Amino acid sequence: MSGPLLGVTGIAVMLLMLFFLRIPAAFVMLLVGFVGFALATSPEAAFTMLGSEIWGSFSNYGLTVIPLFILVGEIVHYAGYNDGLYHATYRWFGHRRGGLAMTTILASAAFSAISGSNTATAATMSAVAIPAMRDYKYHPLLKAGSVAAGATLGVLIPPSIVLVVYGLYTGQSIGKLFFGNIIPSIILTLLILATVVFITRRHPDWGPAGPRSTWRERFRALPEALDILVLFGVIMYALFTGLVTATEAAAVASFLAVVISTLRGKLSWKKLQGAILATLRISCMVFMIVAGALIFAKFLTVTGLPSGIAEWISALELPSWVVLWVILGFYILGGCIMDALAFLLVSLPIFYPLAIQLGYDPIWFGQVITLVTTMGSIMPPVGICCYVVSGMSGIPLKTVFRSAFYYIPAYLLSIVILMVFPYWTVTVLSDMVK
Amino acid sequence: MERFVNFLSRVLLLVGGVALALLVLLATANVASRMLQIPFAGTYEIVSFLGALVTACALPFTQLRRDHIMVDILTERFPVPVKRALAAVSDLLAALLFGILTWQLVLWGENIRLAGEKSETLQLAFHPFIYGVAVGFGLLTLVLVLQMFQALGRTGEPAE
Repeated sequence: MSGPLLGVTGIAVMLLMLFFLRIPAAFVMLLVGFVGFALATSPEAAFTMLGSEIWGSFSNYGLTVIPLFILVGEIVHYAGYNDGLYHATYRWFGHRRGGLAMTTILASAAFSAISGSNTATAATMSAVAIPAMRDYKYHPLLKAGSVAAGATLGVLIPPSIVLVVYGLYTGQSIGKLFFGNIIPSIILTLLILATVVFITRRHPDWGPAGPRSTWRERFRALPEALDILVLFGVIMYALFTGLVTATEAAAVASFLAVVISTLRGKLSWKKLQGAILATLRISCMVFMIVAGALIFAKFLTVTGLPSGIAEWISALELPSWVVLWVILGFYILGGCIMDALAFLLVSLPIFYPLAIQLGYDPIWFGQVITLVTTMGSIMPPVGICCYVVSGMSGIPLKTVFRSAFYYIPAYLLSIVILMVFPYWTVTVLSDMVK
Repeated sequence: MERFVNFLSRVLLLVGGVALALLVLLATANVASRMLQIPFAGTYEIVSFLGALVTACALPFTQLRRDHIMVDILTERFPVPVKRALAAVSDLLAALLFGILTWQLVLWGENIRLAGEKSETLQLAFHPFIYGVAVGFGLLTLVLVLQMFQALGRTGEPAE
């Protein structure tokens, strides 16, 4: 079998196993990558590659950033900051029409500024926001949609686990990726808010306004939000100056998170244990996917498939934006049928070299890809955020997916804005990082 | 057997938790010491080795809870016996893979030990860390074998 053909067969076998066996995505990538590598080279080479690659990636200094960023998010989550953030935001926006939905989105955005996971954001926000919106007789379609769409900001707004993994995989600076992400995050958050305004304009009875808070109440609610801002500031400042590594920034933030939340009396020994346990499990999952993708990519590279595809596409002489939309189409489709992070890593060995060959900036491409995978997490049939919201709130899954659909244009519009103004949306900030 | 594996998984989890806490403290201390102009060389190496332990120690427990991301949009519609059979096949394949991996990691550790290879800055013999990762994968293999027999043996819904 010729190299590229073996590569294509490998991808097909992997997809078949993924869909028809009950086997985790990480294991399939490892398995197919290992067997494929043995066929492409020799069994002896594959055995040695497996041991040394796994040890190499497990003991890679750069990858230690994964458990640490997850830990910051989990500590904040277990300390119950989501509650405080929600009430603080509510004091400022609750009196507007659809104000609770806006509160949900803004509080999710604030929570995401410290948590890199969308499911954690979806779970915590469902617990806080859904009962509040129920009390004010919000329509289920507005309730569920705002929580699900808000939660997707968890993977987008830095520190984002998807961007960390993208950076580690492609060798791009995590600091640059995080700073390049600031404007896209703001654009998407504003567009999601605009969607709420649009929905409540058309259906004023879906989100009735709440009582107005006094200025005194508003300012008294702020200190907890300030904690989050401090942690976010520390991480971003540290990465901006380049004085510390991403791992160190995350470690310092974890340490500060423990200190601050203990001083506020929010973190008990038991909660800290819970946060550590959750961190171990989640980072083990993420790490195995990364390791699987690395082995799978090794296999694809020896088959010569990625460079073959890149050559083939460039021979077609299509305009680069057409190719980009085709790539994005794959991501949307992939995001619909499998976990976003897993799909990202399965596909990067093929699409990343292609995007670079087309002349796209790797930092910018990372933002677009993250936006698309973010959108995948609210799309049927596997949109994970919708599952969490439905599971936590008891609102039927079908309703949650329908409610999330209102927000899809916001994502697509964000992507278009990023394509039209690549410099002003991404590069202008990412270039400032040393 | 089941209880033994459960117990060992929890012990490893504890080791992983301690490694994670050390990781945070060490990296934080390193930043502080640099700010105070007392450089302490070699933390990168220890951080890397601890990082390896953090993930490896969580492997068996994560698999016990079947937390790993799976695509089950098709298979969840299959009848229960088919689902159980598919789960058993998957567990067997994964157990084979991780069995090989454990063996290769032990060999790799042996190589490093016999060659007397040390880490660059601290001159630390790091083969014990490789054995540590091998223990994580070894226990993961045991968990998978156990889950395969569970999928074959019991009636009703397979464990998710």
